[in-house]
Amino acid sequence: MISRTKYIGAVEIGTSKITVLVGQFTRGHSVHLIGLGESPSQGVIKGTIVDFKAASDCVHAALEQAERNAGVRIDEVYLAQSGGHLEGFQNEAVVNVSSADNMVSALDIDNVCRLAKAKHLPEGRMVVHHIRRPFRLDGRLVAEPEHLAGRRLEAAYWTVHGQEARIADQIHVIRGFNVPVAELIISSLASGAMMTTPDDRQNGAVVIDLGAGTTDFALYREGCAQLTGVVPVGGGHLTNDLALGLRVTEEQAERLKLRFGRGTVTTRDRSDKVWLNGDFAVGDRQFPRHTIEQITAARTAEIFEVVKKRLGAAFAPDTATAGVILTGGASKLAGIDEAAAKVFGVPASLGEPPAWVNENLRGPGFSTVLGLLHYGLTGLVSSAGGGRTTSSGFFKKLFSLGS
Amino acid sequence: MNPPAINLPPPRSWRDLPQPVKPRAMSREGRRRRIFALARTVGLTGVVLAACWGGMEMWATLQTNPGRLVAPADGTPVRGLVVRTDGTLDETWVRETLALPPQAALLALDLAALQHRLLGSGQVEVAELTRLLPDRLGVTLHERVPVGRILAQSGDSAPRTWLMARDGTVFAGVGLTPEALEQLPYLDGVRLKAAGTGLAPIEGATAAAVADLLAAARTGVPALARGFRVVSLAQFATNGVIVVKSAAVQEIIFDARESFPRQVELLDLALAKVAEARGPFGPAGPMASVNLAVGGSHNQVPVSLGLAVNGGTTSARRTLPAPTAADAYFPSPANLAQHDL
Repeated sequence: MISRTKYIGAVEIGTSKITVLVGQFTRGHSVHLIGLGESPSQGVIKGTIVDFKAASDCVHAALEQAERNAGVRIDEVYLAQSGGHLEGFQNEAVVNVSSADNMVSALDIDNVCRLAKAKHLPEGRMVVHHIRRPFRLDGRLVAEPEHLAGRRLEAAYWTVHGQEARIADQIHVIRGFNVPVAELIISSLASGAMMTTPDDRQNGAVVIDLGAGTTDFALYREGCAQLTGVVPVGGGHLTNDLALGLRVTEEQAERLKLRFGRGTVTTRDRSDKVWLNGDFAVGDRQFPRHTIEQITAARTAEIFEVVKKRLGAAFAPDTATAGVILTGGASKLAGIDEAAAKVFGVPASLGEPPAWVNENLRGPGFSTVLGLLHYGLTGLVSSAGGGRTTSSGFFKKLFSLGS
Repeated sequence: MNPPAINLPPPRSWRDLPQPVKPRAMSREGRRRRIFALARTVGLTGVVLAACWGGMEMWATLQTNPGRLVAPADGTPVRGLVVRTDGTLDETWVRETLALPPQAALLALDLAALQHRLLGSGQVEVAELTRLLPDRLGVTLHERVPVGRILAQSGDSAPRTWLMARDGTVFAGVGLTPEALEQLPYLDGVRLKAAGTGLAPIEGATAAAVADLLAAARTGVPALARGFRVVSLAQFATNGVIVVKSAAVQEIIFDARESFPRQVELLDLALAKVAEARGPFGPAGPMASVNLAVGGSHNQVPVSLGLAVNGGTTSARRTLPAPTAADAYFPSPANLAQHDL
């Protein structure tokens, strides 16, 4: 028995803030965004929980705020997963079509998928996602090979895995609120699902989600995610560079970054100076605008260079014709799209959420949580993971203390 | 033959992680939610168990001694009636009509039979009976509205007044005051048939025509309508006319095939013209006849003026034998032709 209405909390535990979005799922066909909760993040560094109590307090405050805002109790949580511990690899498998008439059967598909997913992981690592790529039947791409004729069936998966302890920490923080985690979705996939269109994914696109502590990226081609990754560098590092370079506090550096930071250097006049506070109070001082831009542009370019390096041979400008799509809180930096275009050699743009998204949630900082709910609606989690759709039955709910 | 399935152990997934955490690791809100969930689970389990236990008990009782289940339900006697009606019937009449045996059990009552008893009176159009637990019977009545009176005699018994409703039902008329009865004209020339202890309904079209005529008269000429004494249907079947005898006009002939409001309007106009022609010092007294059934266009209405009762100079032409007294045309019930059944 599938529940008709379910309240899902999409939770992103970020380095700078915790965001919770409550979606009302009706019969699995539509989702209504009914509540939002935000809280400054503590106890989280580069997407990793380092202080369980502090992180729990922040996450639970955001969850409570979202529930109050929505006026409902959250049934289960879709949790975004990020952090430098996440890694991925590609695994392929080939089987010969078993039937005498060379028609692919469901068992052939099942066998090739099992083989492609069966890869031993090092101790302490566990799978977060199996992202299946299109099948190949005798070398040709096919979406659904069952009942098609051929000899060799190939399947390939991009497997994302992470450190067990870090994943468990995040889940336990949510469970401390006594809400089960129904799905774990990496941030880059969530953002990518929200910021790209099917055409973008078919033509090839790189989605880069610039957070405060981490930068998540995903490469799309042939309609699905080919490669994902996380770089443990984000907008916070720009702030840190400014604080060190200009010898100001973190707060002052953050304000300078937001007001004068740029992804590329455009100021030619080296004598052009800007005020730290602009209120002419005691302690207010001037800094060269060129220097600020130089610091932020250098770090921005470095982040993109690292991403490009991690993409490696999988990325080629001619196979990513939809270009680079930027999102995340740090993508609000002026001129960041120019910097990305310069590094990747393809057009770059700031991601635009679909038109149905409320004006208050159209900021780049909400792309991950929106993407989590989008995943829940479209059921991409199941298809990406090759898992089975779960249902919440009456007796399961009745005898579950967790919800 | 199907190929063998490949069984390789899948790598560990995040779904293999045990999610529950110890209460100590929970926040206050988390603990509160956990207690709520626990209480809900215990409560629902209790409800399910209680329902199962109740079902098993009932099953066992039904198997061994079904009387134990039925007897308590049947045992509660009716302690009162709650009567609601839109007419004149009262609780006493309902009680007498239902004739409930003393100590009749509420749940053992045959409501359909009781309803049939109430509907046996023609005055009751709709009757609804409901059990008002624990011990009262609710009776809601919708009564028929009488249109006219019928004086009828059955055998050697004394003549009796009956009432006719718009749908032709003839009923005794319980609870109506003499003043209310006086407002109703007598019906004449009606064919009656006995049915049981009462009378069979009159043909619906006839009764409806009378009801429509009276309603139009009460709306258009209320003062004249109050003086309607007899409505004769003797020529209704043959000529389609209804003859009304009233205080102001000895005979008003209506055409049942034409619009009654229009005829009432013409009647009002004719009476006004006659009053104007007579003048303030002219002859008084009832007119002999107004025939509204002559002439298709109704542009002209034949009117016969009677002689003034008090004599005096009169120029009115007598078209009908002058009545010696107005009472001859306004029969009392005793003067009406009685219908032998």
